[in-house]
Amino acid sequence: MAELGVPADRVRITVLEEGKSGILGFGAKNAVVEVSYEETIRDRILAFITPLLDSMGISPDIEITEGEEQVTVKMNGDNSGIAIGRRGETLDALQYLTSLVVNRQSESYTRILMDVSDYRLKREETLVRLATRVAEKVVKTRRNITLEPMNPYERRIIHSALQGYKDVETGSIGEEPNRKVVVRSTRGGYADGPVNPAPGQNRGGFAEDGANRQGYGGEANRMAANRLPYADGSGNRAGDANRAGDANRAGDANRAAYSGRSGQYGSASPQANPNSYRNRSTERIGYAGNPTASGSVIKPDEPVYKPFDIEDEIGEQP
Amino acid sequence: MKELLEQIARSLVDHPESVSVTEVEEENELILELRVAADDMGKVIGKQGRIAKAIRVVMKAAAVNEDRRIVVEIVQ
Repeated sequence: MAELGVPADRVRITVLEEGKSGILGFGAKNAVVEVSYEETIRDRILAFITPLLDSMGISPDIEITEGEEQVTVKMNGDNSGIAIGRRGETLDALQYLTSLVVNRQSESYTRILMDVSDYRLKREETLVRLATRVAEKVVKTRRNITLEPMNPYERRIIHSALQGYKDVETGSIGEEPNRKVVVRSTRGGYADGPVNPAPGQNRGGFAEDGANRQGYGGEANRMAANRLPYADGSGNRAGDANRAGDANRAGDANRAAYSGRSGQYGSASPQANPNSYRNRSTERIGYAGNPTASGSVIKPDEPVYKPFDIEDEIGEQP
Repeated sequence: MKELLEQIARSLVDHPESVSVTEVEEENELILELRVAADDMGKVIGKQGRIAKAIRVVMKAAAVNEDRRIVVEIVQ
């Protein structure tokens, strides 16, 4: 074994031909064996990440736990923050590349879950706290709140944190990598505009605004097929008037198409009819300077509203 | 840095022998030009450049002890 330079507990030996000791050493024959060495997932992971960690100047303890479909790689050590990066960016990249390396040329898929100094654990706690705080706000104000873009793993944490939460529901809008969680009130409610808007006023404001939107009729019709039947937040449209003054939207060429619908809003009652278009908009989200979102058509839903103080909270590092 | 990028790329592609990295020295930055076999391009770029982005992110972290910026370019 020593000659081959592989650990003895990792080789498989198949005897092809039994050895014979012969009679009085006469006619003795060596056994013929086949020795095979299987590179394990563990070897592959270590071979891949060790040089990277070396370059980063860290040498954390690495604990690899192999499960049926999932392998967890936990790293702990001094200065390991470099392997986490801003909001876990480096850790996510490292995890993604490792999973490609592990699953390359493999028929089954093994999920790789990587953590450094319990970053993910702490991040989860932060997200759950954030989710609860946002839900409280949504219940109180009955306005929907859209969180900042998150990866699927983080969005799932928010969804499951609020699954049993009374009077709110969660959904996602936008496309990767700008997909965002929306927390909506399921108790009717007002709008995405200022607190307690007088409904009449807002609808009036929307009608004025309607002129701007006429030009997008074609877009609206095209998107009609994709509409999702969200029946909540019946007052959503009421907030439209406020958007005119919203810097993010007023000058936004990509913005929503509500063409031809104005009439419906005028007679809208606060209770939503799931089959009416009242609660829906076909919307393009285009924050300036965002290459992915601009110009791409986003799934129709409530208007995206940048939450006030949420954005900073969510970025916090544990 | 060159060896590290080669090692990452070789772990991802089907033809590791075709992986090569050329260093181009610029003022305050080091450009690493990564070349792979034509049919391995997808393996280092990925859907919407996801793999390429991940490679750049880890290379940036790995270059923490360098005194210059590292730029990874994937060339044909």
